[in-house]
Amino acid sequence: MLSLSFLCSEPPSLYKPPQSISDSSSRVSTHPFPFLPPPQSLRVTSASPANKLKTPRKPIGLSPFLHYSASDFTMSACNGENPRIDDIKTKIRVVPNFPKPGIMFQDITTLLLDPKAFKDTIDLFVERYKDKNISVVAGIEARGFIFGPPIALAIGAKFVPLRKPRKLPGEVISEEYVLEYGRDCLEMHVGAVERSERALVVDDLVATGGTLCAAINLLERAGAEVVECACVIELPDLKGRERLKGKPLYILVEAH
Amino acid sequence: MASDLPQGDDRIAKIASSIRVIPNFPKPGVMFQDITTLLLDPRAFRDTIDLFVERYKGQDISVVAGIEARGFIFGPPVALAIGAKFVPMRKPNKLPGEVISEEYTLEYGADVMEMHVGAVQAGERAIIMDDLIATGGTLCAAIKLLERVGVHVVECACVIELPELKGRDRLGDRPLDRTSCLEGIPGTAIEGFEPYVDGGRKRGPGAIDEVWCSTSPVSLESGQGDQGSALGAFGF
Repeated sequence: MLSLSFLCSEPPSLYKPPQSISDSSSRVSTHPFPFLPPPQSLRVTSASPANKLKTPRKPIGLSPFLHYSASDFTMSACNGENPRIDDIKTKIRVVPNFPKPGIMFQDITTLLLDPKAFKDTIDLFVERYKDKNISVVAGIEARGFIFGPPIALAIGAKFVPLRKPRKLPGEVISEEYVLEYGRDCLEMHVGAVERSERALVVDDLVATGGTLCAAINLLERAGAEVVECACVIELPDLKGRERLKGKPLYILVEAH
Repeated sequence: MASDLPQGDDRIAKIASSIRVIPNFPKPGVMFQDITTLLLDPRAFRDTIDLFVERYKGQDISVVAGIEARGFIFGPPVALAIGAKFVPMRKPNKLPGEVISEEYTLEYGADVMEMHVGAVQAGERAIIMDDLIATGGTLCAAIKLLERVGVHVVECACVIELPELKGRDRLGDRPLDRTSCLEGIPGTAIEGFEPYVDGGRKRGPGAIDEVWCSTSPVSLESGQGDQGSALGAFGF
C-alpha cells in the first residue's frame, strides 16, 4: 500500500504563514491554538503581506537578517519562553561536513547531555499540547524516539513509533517518500491509531519536510487527524514548512 | 519490602499483558517481544518508567545510556526524571561527531556500536537501558564503551529478559535490573519471559515470577503510593 504522496506541490490551501502577535486581532486564525503566541524563535522577516507589522522591528545584532518585534519579545518574556529557547539553541552542536561535505549537521546529542536544557525542551512542547486532547504522539525513527515519548508520557498520550522498513514486527502500512537521491519508506503498525484520534508528529529536525509529510500521510490513512508537527529545529531555507499538507509546524530553534 | 509487593505486582502484570508476542519475526522460530503495544497504553508505559525511576532516583546516577533504537524510547524519560544526561549508543555512521567504537558478535557476523567522545566523563555513574536483553551481546558492547572512558556502569536495565539465552551471564558481575525474583542474582528487572518451558509448552507473557524480591545492593525507596507517578519529577 504505497503512495507517492510526497508530491505536495500544489499550494497548501489551509496553510497560513506564522503571524506576529500584533496581527492576531486583525485576522481569522486557522491555527489550532490561536490563543497561544506563534513560535517565539527568531524569525527572518520578509516583505510578504503576512509579515507587515504595525510595530517597528528592531534588529537584535546577531545577524542583520534576524529580527523580532518588540511585541514578540514582550510576549515571550511574559511566558518565560525566550530564555529557555536561547539556552536550548546554545546546546545544539553544529558538525560541519556530516554526513557529506557542505552539510552543517545540527547535532542534538549535546542538548541531551544537559538535563535542564533537555527538560526545558520537553516542557516547551508539553506546555503547548497538554489539555489539547492529543491522544497520539508519533515519533520518527530514531531521534523522534528521544523527544516523542517524554511528551507523550507527560500529556497522557500513546506513543507510536514510525520506522524504517522491516523494523516493526507486526502488520504495517507503508508510505514511500523521496530523498535527494532515491526513495525511502516509513512504516506504522496497523491498529496503532484509531479513526478520529488527534495526533502530533515529533522529530528532532525538519529540513525538506519529506519525512514529516510521509508521517502525516500514514496517520491520515489510518483516519487520525494530525493536529501539528513539532520539531526542535527547523532549516527554514529548505522550506519544509510548505510541504506539510497544510498542517502547522511548531519549532523551537531555526538554523541557517 | 512487603509494602512494595501489591503495587509492584499490579503494575508488572499490566505491563506484561500489554506486550505483544509476534511469532516468526524477524525469522522463523523467533517469538518477537513487541513493546510497541505497551507504548499504546499510557498507563502501562508510565508504570514502566515509574518502576525504573523509583529504583534509580537518589542513587547519584548521572548518565543514562540508551541503545538504538528502542532504548531511545525508555532511556530519555528515565533520564529526565532522575536528572541525568541521556547518551545515545548508535549503529555506525549515525553519530555526527568524533566517536569511539566497540565491535560485538551477532549470531552470524558482527556489528559495531558507537558513542560520542566527550559525552561522558570518567567517574560518572551510569545505567544502560534497552527494551530487551537476549544474548547480552549488545549490552556488553555498551558496557565496554562506557568503561573504556572510565565510567562506572552501576546496572543494566531492561523491560524484558529472555532468561534462557543467558544474557545475564555475559554481563559479568554487573547486575541486571529485573523486577522478578531470581535466586541469588543481585539486581532487578521488569520482565522475564520464558516462552519455552516444560518440554516445549509455550508460555506467553504473564508466566513470570510475580513475587517482587530485590536482592540488589541498590536500595529501593518506598513507592510513590497513590500520590501519583514518579514522573512527577518532571514537574507536571
